[in-house]
Amino acid sequence: MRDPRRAFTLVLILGFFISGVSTLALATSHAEVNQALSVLCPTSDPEIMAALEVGFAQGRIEPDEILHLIRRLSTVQGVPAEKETILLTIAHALQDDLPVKILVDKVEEGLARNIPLTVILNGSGSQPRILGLVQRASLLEAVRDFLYSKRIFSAPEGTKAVSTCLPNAHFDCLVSEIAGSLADYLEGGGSPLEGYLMFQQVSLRLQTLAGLREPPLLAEDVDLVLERLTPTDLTNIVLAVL
Amino acid sequence: MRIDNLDESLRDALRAEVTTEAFCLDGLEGRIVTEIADRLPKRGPLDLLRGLFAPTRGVRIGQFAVLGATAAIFLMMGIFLADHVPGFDRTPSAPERTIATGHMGNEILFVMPATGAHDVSVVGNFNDWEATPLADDNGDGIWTVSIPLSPGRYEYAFVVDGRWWGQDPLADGYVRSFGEYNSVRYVGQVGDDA
Repeated sequence: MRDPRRAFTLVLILGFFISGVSTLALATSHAEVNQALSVLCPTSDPEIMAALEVGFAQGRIEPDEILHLIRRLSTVQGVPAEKETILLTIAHALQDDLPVKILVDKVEEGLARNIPLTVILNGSGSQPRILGLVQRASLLEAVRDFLYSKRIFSAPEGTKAVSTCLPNAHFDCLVSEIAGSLADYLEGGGSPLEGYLMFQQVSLRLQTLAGLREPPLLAEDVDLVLERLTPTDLTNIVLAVL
Repeated sequence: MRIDNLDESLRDALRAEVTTEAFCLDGLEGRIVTEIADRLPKRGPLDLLRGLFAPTRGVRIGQFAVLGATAAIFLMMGIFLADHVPGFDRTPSAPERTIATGHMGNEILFVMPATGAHDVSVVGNFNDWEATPLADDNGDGIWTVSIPLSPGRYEYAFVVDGRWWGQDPLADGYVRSFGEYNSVRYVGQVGDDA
């Protein structure tokens, strides 16, 4: 194409087309979530949808992921109120500014394993211990608050105010992985009073993730957390949740 | 011949030649136009489109209007297709979803020895705990599947004829979940080129 202005015009048209279709796809997906939600949770769907919209905007959850969960919840047997409570718990976690992918994933696993909804939601105290969605959300909140108390914060990309202010995605990943590691420790039969073992497990997991090629966590973020985290802190976090 | 008459003789000769060949000039203009038209490149629909958007002075506003209208038409076509054509559904079905969740990056091999099994699959947080089937093409009882995964930590289990099996010997670790075992694989470790 000899005339660069003509080439530019054609590229512009293609750009319009692609962006139009992308916007449309996103909008349709939100509409699908809303529609599926209104069928499953007719009473609380506005509240849940409002929280989900925030989560979509923050990149904490994708419409496809939550739609998959809603559709799966729709197909399993169970009390409708419990299905609604599961989605409300996830929505409240989003409203509380918490990462929720780990929660969605745990519900998906529970449903795939045919675990009763009440156990997925509230867990089981008998051995082996099973942490429910409510406890897992509390664990996320406790870890997040602990990091705040140690002056480790999150901020949107490019707005780093202080050296301990991590990008949102990194901070969410740290919170999810620490809370996930603690939950695994507890479900594995570990005692919350053995903080040192919990610390070992948490530090091993974070350092392994930071050591990957294209790591989801940066080594300096992990070092920052491990410098300020003690076994006693972990015991306190877990005891506050159980 | 005297040199004085030379000019006149030349003029006469040329005049006679022009008169003789004058009939050749009949329709010359038309022939030239036809010849030029034949030599011009043929303009297809794409050329017409290019011409429409050729940025010449004085018609830029019109061009932008055409551009906007074209974009609007594409957008409306997209809306129509999404709303009315069933096959235009963007949400993939379950098997497609399994492929879509794999990101570009490491092809991770999952291997499950299960002699005599009829149906072996792997479920995990990389496929929303939806079954991705393993294959045993040569019938030796070793079921395998490769799934592309981005670097990270993954929990999974095999499902052999409906029974969950969460202790993969090739796993990097194991965790308890809902009272059962899940295998854990870290993807993207240095030296891990599986």
